[in-house]
Amino acid sequence: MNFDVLEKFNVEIIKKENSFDKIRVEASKLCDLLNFLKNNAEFDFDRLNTIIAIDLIDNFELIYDLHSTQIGQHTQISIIVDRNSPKVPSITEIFKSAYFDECEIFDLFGIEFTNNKNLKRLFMPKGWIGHPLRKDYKQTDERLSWNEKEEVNGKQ
Amino acid sequence: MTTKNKLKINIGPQHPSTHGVLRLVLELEGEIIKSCEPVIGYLHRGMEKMAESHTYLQYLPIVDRIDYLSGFFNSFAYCNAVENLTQIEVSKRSQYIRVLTMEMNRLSSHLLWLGTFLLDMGATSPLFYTFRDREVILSLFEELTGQRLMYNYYTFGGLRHDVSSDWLDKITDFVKIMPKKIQDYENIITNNPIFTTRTKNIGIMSKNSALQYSITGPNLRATGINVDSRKTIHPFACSPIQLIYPELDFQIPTAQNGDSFDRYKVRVEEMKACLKLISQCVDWLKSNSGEVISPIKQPLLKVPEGEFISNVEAPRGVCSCYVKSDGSTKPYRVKWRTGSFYAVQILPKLLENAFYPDLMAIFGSLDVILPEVDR
Amino acid sequence: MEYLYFLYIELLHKYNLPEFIGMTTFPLLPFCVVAVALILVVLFLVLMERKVLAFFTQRKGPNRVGPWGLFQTIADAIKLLCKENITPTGAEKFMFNLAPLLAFVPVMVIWGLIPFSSEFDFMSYSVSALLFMTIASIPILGILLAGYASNNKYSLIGSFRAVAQAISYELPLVFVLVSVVVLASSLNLRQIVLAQISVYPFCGWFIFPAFLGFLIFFICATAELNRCPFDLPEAESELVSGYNTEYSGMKFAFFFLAEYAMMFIMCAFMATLFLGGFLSPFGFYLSEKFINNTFWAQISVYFEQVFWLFLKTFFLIFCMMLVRATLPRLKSNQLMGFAWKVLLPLSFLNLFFICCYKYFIYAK
Repeated sequence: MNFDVLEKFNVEIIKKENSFDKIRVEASKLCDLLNFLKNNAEFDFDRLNTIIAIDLIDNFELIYDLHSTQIGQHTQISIIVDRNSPKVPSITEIFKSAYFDECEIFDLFGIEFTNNKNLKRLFMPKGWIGHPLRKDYKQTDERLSWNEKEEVNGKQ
Repeated sequence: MTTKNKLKINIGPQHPSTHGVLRLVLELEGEIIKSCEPVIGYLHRGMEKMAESHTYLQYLPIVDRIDYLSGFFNSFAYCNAVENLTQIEVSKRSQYIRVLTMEMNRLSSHLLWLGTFLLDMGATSPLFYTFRDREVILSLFEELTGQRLMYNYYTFGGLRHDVSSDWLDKITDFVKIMPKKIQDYENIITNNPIFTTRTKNIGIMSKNSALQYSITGPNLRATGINVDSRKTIHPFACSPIQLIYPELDFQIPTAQNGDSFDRYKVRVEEMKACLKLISQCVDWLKSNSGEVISPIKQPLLKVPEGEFISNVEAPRGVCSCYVKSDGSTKPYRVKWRTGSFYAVQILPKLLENAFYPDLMAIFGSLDVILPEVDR
Repeated sequence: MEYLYFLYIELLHKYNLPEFIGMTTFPLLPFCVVAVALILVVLFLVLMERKVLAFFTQRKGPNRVGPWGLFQTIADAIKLLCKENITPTGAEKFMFNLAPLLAFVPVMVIWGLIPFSSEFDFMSYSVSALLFMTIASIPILGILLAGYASNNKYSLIGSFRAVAQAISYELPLVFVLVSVVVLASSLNLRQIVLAQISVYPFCGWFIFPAFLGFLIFFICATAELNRCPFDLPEAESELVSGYNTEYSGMKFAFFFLAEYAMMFIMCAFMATLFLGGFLSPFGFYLSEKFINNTFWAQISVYFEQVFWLFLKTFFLIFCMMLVRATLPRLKSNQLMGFAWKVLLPLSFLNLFFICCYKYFIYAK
């Protein structure tokens, strides 16, 4: 597949050993790129397989896994999200299936998706403190810290 | 209509027909569903977080629990990703056994779906008949792996042990009698006027909305899109098992309308296709021998740095497993993508202005399983 | 009847009891017999249903308590009796407790209207067929009340469905009943049975002229009884358990009992109307043939008639169970459409046909 057309989106194709090729793009250009990839006849990536969020300690990486039902190919688009103010444009306008994915990532990573109106915690209870899939996550809710208490009792 | 005329009703999380712990908040006007909001997360076990604190091998048995009705598929997706990262060759014989067990698993999963779907619609008998046939498959699995649902049979680069020729003979017998039984189901269900009127033109999913909501598997094929990751090739996520599928002769059944009836039809046809695949695999396995035990040491397996997405066509849609390794003995990040997660998301759209009893005909036909949604 | 009365008085005299006790208690006796018999029948029926369904689905059914699981239902009944009677806090207490009785008592009463043999029927009125239909529609009030008083949305929807269903299916039911009444020229159930006697064995049964009517009646009876495929009011996959979701223990047992008793009575009613009731299918009674003593032969004929009625009834019940094991549930709008668009016109057609038959053929 020829990705030269994507020059105008300032993309960078990342090739690493033992990994798939990722199209790195700036978060602000993500929507445009996805729109282009979806509607362009050559690519025709009509299905968003999933969104993968990874905690890279310094920042977050989001990988959008696209699939084309016509050509039968997958492609991965990656964006880097700043850890201190994790905000990404929502793509629910382009792929409706992204809604649950974005809620999940918001729930487990604390990445906010701007203009996703109904962003909510999907798996964790409403009042949960923290985002469990972050690498620095520590269980701080006192109501749930039965494990630590037992350890303390064991030591005494 | 004001909200005063609407009846808010909570279905689940404990309800006979939500197949687990899904909660649906419905707004009814008479018996017409005006809005529906799925609430999930009652079965969230933190599978993805668990991966980060277990070694690769320790995580393997947990993987089966993601979709307890088709454990082999999850197992395969995970093993495949790790094998690709470590570049382990999987012998042809073990690949054939993997396909064989996976297709049998698909058959058993569809059988269970058929029974519970009809049970949701109020017919009690099909459940017992499908369970009778599923029981045969489960006892075969038990004989092979020692487990009925959580198999833990695949290892990185191979299998726990080889299959016996005795076991293969039993499968041959099973494949012989099964088509007649599927025909029995079709005789009693497909032309039943109550069943057809309840499912035809109910819960219609258009091609476009199916793709928009990322529906995969039989649900997508019922809309007329012929997509099956068993047939297509992924350059980035090339799975070794895909080398096997092109060697086998099988058809991918599709339907046109995308209603509940078509979803039923596609699944029944898929059962027949499964049987075809199974018998081909058995024939190959009987005439060829080879090594299935993995050459590498399983515990404390160090996976080289890298990342990989493996896709597999599970009974409920594409099951993707993303594994990122940082070179240590534990995965850095594992992400699961499962079919049911997206099937739940399309429910509100399908249920709009449907009759309340249609809820069962629609939800049942989507074949949602909750452990897979929540993970 | 008089003969039995004298026997009873003599029995009392033996124990030196005054006659007025006999006079006052004698009318109550049939009801006691009826009640006990009905409960025994229901116990058997529940077991039968479970066994038959098990047979259809290749299972064994209950087989632990007693021989062939015969006492399973008794064990279940004891369990239900021992359970705590829970009344939900949000429920209307009085109505919540009244509902099971309202569903149960009418069933007990109409049981006595069925003619079991040519001599004994506990209540025989000239309009007993009409009375039957009237009392048979009372339990639906109990169901409505249960749904309303439970303060549960599932129950409410279930009872709405039950009432809508009962009203729509009552109409064709009554029109078919009218056609039978036309054939027999009587509203008395015993007269209806006796009108089915003919020269040739079982040829006079009303099922032959009114076969269409029989089918309609069977379908409507299934719907009236809320049985599969018309079991929408208690569809467990949609409404958990419908109107009786909140009931437990003995109150639930009353609903359960009423449901199964009603099923038996409906089938007995159907057998009476269409299958010749207590008449023997051979044209003669077996006891008449094999017992020489006239007095005992007469007595055993009565028992034989009860036997024939039960046999026909259980055959119909078996058919209902077969239907339940085969079909999925209908949808509520289909259900209504079926009653008003198909069954009602057909029942008119049936009535028209029967009237012509009566006028041109039967009368001559």
